[in-house]
Amino acid sequence: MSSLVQAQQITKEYQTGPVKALALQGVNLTVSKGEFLSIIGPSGSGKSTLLSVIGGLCTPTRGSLKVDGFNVYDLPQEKLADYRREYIGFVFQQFQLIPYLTALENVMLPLVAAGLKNNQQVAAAKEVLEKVGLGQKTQRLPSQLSGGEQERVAISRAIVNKPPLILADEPTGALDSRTTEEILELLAQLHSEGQTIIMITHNPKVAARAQRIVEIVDGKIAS
Amino acid sequence: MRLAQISLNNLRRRKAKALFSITSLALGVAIFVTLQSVGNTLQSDLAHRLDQYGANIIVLPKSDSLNLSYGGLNVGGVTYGQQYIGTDALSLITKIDDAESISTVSPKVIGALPTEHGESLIVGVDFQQEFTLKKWWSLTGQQPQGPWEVLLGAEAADKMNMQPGDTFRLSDTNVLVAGVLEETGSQDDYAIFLQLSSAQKLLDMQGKISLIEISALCTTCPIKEISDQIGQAIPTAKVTPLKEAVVGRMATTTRLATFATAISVLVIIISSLVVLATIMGSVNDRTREIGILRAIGFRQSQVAIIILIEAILIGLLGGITGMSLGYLGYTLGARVLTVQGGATFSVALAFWPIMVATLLAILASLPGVWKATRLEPVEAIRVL
Ligand SMILES: Nc1ncnc2c1ncn2[C@@H]1O[C@H](COP(=O)(O)OP(=O)(O)O)[C@@H](O)[C@H]1O
Ligand SMILES: [Mg+2]
Repeated sequence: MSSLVQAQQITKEYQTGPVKALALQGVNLTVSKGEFLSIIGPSGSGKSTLLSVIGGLCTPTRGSLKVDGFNVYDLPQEKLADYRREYIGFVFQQFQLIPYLTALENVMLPLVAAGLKNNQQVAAAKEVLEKVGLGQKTQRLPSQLSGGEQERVAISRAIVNKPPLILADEPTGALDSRTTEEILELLAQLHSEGQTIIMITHNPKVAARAQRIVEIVDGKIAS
Repeated sequence: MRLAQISLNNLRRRKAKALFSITSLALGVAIFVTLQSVGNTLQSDLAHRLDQYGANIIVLPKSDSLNLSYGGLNVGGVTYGQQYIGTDALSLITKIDDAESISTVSPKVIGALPTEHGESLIVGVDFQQEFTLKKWWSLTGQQPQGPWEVLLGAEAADKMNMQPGDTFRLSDTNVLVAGVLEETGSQDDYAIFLQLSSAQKLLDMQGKISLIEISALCTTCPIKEISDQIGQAIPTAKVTPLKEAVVGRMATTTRLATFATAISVLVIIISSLVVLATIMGSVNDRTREIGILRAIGFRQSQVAIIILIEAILIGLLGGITGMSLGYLGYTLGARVLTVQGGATFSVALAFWPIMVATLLAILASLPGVWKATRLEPVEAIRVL
């Protein structure tokens, strides 16, 4: 299978005042098209940072990231925004829904950014919300949805424009076991449809649902 | 969904927050507009009243000699040349360029005539104009109506022992005392006033005028210019602007305007601070939202449009609401102060406050934008 993501010698230093935090230290990672990969590791080991670097949200201090053959961080500002929109569906750890937009409107956002016509936006967003089982709650605000439902809205928003790569940061971290199972089913279904997925978790059972597990400790790949 | 709808939904679904921003803007604009319009109206009202208060231009016949009177005391001296102005001067005055700025033109003919009590000072006037000019006049009895009704100065009435309703012989004509003036402390106290045409007849000065007192609206046009124009229109007359009267009036009205402006500036500063504090209170919310939008793939320009539209909506809503409230305040203020002289509320007055309100709303949204663009999306999202 051809590779979609090639991260080479990724290093990330955070500077907080005079203190430097080394979040990633020379990480190499290759992800193939259609692969379902999970990243595990203790808290603070650099999992979220790695996912952000892959998602174009965080410029690495050193190293290069190639996606689909091009160097992501060589892109100018606006092209980097286009990369996020076209290549990445990001599911954030705390959902990060816009509080004053309905479920439907939140899911429509990537299509708004892409400049699609309104009826196309609505049709696509509705279809995805149906698929995750929220067809009846499209007009609710995030505050009117449960944690599991918000997670599904976040996943819907990530997949609505059919990006080649889904990045999910602890998508089941805050959910009970039944809802966790539903979300994992959903990800498994997407994977079976050919979707490439990278999922962070600190739960080994959840990680085991993926095809491959990568462990990060202290900013380095441990296995 | 368009970009503008994202902004609109933000305002719609976080009503309390939007209302607070809009209200604080509106109050600032309202107070500013009220103060300015009431101030302007008061100023023109005051100017209007002051302008009608006494003459500020005197038109006299040209004479070759020096004036030998001081404070009403004539110390004699021979004067040569014309001692009167023709009646046609009155119509000439109404034709000068700045004629609209002239509020009152009061012609007078002055002379002495015998009565039972000796020689008396006779002043022929246009009563309507004279009463407009001399707002401080108050009288017992009535204003003279017919051609042979007179008004007596306080001293003259006293000396002649006359009251309203009495009659006496003036030269060889019987006249009725219609009213008696209260003491004014001026030459008016010694005079017998009667209609201009009657006085001209008795003094044998038909078609002649001794002097003209003019009240010009000095706020709209420099008094010097009006004087010069009258001088050119009537070459036989000497036109004297009463500078002290003018300078005093200008100073009073200017002081009022300065006061209103000073308070308005204060209001602008205070409400600006309130608005900035209100809108900037949510910089972190803003930063996070912008982070999310950018992470999803919105370009900087798209994010800028969303935030700009929101700020403009808040600014316009606040500005227009404030202007309406300001108009209400102006109407109430004008009613309470029972001002005279035209209303000076104008939409133009509201233009700048609305612009400032909008700019302020945009300015207040900048810290969030600045913070969000300085940070990488992942950091902006994490801002607490
Ligand atoms: N914005 C930041 N500024 C400074 N330090 C950071 C920042 N984000 C993460 N870190 C630090 O980098 C390390 C890795 O963080 P993170 O990638 O969030 O780990 P994980 O997701 O595995 O818990 C931690 O030590 C964390 O404190
Ligand atoms: Mg994390």
